[in-house]
Amino acid sequence: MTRLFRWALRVVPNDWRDAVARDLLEETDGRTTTRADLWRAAQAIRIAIGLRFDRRRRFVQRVTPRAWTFSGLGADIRDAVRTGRRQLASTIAIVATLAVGIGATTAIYCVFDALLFRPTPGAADPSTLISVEFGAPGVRAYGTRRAFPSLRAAGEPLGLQFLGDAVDVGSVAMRAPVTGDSELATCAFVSSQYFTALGLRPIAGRLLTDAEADAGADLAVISESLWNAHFGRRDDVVGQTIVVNGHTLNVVGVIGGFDGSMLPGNNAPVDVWAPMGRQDLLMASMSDRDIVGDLTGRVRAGTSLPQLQDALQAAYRNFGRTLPPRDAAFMPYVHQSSELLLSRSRSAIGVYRLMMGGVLILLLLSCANAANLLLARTLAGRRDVAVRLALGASRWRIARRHLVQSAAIVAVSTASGVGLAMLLTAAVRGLRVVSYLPEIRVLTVNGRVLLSCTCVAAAVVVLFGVLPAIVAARTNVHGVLARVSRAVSAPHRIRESLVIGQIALALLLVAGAGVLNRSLQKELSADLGLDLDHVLQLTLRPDDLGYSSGRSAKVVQDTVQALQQEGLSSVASSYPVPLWGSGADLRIQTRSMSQPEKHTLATSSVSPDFFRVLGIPIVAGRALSASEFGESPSIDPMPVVVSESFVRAFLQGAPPVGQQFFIERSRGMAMMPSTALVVGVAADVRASARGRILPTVYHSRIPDVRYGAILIRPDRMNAALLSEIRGAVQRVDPALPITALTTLRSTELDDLAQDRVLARLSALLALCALLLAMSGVAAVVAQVVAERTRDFGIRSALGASARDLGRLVLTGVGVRLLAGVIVGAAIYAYASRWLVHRIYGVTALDTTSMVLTLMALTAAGLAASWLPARRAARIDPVVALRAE
Amino acid sequence: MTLDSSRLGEVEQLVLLAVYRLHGEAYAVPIRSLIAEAGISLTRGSIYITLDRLEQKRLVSSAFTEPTGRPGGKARRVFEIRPAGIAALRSARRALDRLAIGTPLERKP
Repeated sequence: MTRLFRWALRVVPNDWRDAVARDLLEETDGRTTTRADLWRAAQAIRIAIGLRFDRRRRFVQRVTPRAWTFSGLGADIRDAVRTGRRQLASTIAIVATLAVGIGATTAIYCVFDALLFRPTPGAADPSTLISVEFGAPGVRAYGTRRAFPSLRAAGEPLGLQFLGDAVDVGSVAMRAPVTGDSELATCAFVSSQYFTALGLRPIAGRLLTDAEADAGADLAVISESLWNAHFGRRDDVVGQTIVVNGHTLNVVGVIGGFDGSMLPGNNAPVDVWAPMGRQDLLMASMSDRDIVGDLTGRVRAGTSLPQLQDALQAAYRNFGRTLPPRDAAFMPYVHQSSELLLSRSRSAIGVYRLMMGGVLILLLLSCANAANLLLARTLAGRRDVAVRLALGASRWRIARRHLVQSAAIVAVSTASGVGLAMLLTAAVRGLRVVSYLPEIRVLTVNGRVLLSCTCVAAAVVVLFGVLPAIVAARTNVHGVLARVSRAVSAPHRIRESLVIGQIALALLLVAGAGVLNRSLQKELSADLGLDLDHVLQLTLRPDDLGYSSGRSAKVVQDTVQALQQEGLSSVASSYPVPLWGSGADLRIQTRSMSQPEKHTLATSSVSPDFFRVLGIPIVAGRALSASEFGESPSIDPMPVVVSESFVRAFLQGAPPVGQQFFIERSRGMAMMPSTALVVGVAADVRASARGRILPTVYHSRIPDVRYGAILIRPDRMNAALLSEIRGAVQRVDPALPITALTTLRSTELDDLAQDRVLARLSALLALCALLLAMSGVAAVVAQVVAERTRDFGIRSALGASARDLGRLVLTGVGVRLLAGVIVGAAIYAYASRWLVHRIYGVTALDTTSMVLTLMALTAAGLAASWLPARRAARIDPVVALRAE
Repeated sequence: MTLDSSRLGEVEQLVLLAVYRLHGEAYAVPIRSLIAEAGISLTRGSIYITLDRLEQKRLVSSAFTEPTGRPGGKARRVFEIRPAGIAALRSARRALDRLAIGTPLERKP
């Protein structure tokens, strides 16, 4: 029979195929000419079309709607439960496989849900929440709180119900009520109408009233986590006191479920909500407390936001006649609240997309694995199906029976997957790196997530459940009952395709994980130009206690001296902190410039030991001396150390040491020009592996200390060291809390939080994918060995050794692995473009990662097939032939 | 509309009669030849469709013979009329005879 005739016969229904082939061959006397073959193929196609159309018509005519849909469904469900119990091991394997895929997908969808659909957790009706941003087109700036009454009056006729403000000032010193120790807390100051705009409800006591917020009563609302940690969640929390930056506030209520994630730049949950009118007392360091950034408001449903915006801008323009021209230039712009929060989270959306892509691949892999396991079960039961068909069961009924079994398995897997998702989200919630993704603090499996889970489950049924149903319905009754081997050739091809697909999908995840982890390794090992591992960073904020900048600077210097007296010889200070990473546009004028030019520079105020403590070499000249440190800012020229990149950019043509240049310095809001004298050149440093090297100027004029740190290089790191440091700080000022005490390495790790999350999650997905692929290969190889028992028995009887049989099995595994690797490599070569922007120091086709991927897949495939190969090698020919 | 197994179409009657006459050797090729000898040409597809319908109506039954001895040989599907099929043929014949009474086509006893 030629290939053309064979292809034509594929269209003929299974139960007529052999008979039609026989009859057409008989009619043409078995002639093998091209003409005869063409004629046979044409006739076969005509017969097939006629049979299929007629059967379809009869099928529609024959059955009644009731019988077609529901008759016997109860029996199918009972049968599915019985089958599941009878084949418990394979059912558990299939359920576990699907639960992993569904659970991972649901967990990641929880993250999407929190980010995209619940950007204001705890707030009522997010659809009518608005944000009012001050700025100019393309520029975010600030406005003034004094304009509130005008803005509210102008907006009210157009639908504005409430408009308020909250300012997140970051860390404050809070004295713990029970222990009396100073510790850090995050504080936000709220204006009138802020809580009302959000529609918040307290879980204990009450919230601040509008009058209390504006007038500045000594009251506070605390968070649920603070209530749990310091008040034992006691009901008598109302009326208790907390001390913030040395001032006593009475607790009036507790907020739950709302953590202030709407506040711009907020990276930590808010612990204390205090009245805006108390900000001047509690935060002496803040220079201009009338400034507002983003306002929060609520409008009536149906309000036109463009019209509201026009009205607010007109009102602000009128009010702005009393403001300085620069401040009056910034107008209020109205946005839907959710849009604003989404734009802030855009940097994290790339991470979510990659994570979602990874778990969808894992879901496909688990579906393919489950389909293979279910297919194996279907093939094992094909004799039963053939008997049912022979006894008169319709093929639709057979298919429906298998679909119901698949749906029952998916239902159990979905329930297990949701449970797994809840465990996974609970684990993710506790991770430190999650603080860079503010909305993920509130992760719940809600109705929307369950609906998406149901859609995933339905897709899974289609992806993996329909295949066994089709295979069962197409059972060749005669072939199976007469034990004709070709009766199962089509399912075997499906099985092989599925296992090759699993290997290809596993390659995608393993290769991606390899590249991401290698990239992270390159970032972590990159030389930033300073010592990250042996330097502690001690952050103090004396200005939070209301100290003036002069007193704050003295506190810091006294702390440095106290630490040196503790025996820590290597102590320095730096403002801003190392690894700050950002520069400023400053005007400079060197000898080669005819007039001042604006360039992006980094400037740091550092103590004399700074370079020694951080291990930054001085390549020319010297470091700043102790006598130069703390000089009055009015003394010119200002001695500076510049970086090598500064020399390359601005001081070419002559030795840099001894050169002078003009530089515009910033101190508070005033820009003070200085003449700088270069006394030394330091090696370049950068804030991160991906960060660019900025030309840097190191000087010794102490600015505001708020963003600085004390740097310590201890001789030894132990618990006693921490006590010594705390003791030194306490001796200088008992009320001063330690904002942070970390190594520079942990600061760098915090900056790499997204990359670390991706690397860890990708490794976890890759491990799951490898295990799933292994189980898929093991199942297929075991099936093949079982089906070929007679073949192996004959080979063994004819003299094949155990090693030969084992090699035969492993060769088959090798062929499948090779096919899967080729398919997977082709897909990866296309898909790797989505990794390019997330990696550093390696390419998406990194050789080491690809080699490790191949080794991992090969090892997994061999490990999976070891047991079946061993079983094949030990087949007793007598037993095998007798069993047939 | 459901399939009424007792009512036979014209082609179904022809094929059923052919199966009855071929007794044990009825498969598509000789059935078509026999009907052609009676002066009616049917397409191969209509033969297979009709046999499929008749089997679904349980008027005929089929069985597969053993595959031929030569390599690649296929099993033959042969049909046998069932008692219900014979009854359906008789019923169809009686209906025709009753309708023909009083016409030149009436069969004389």
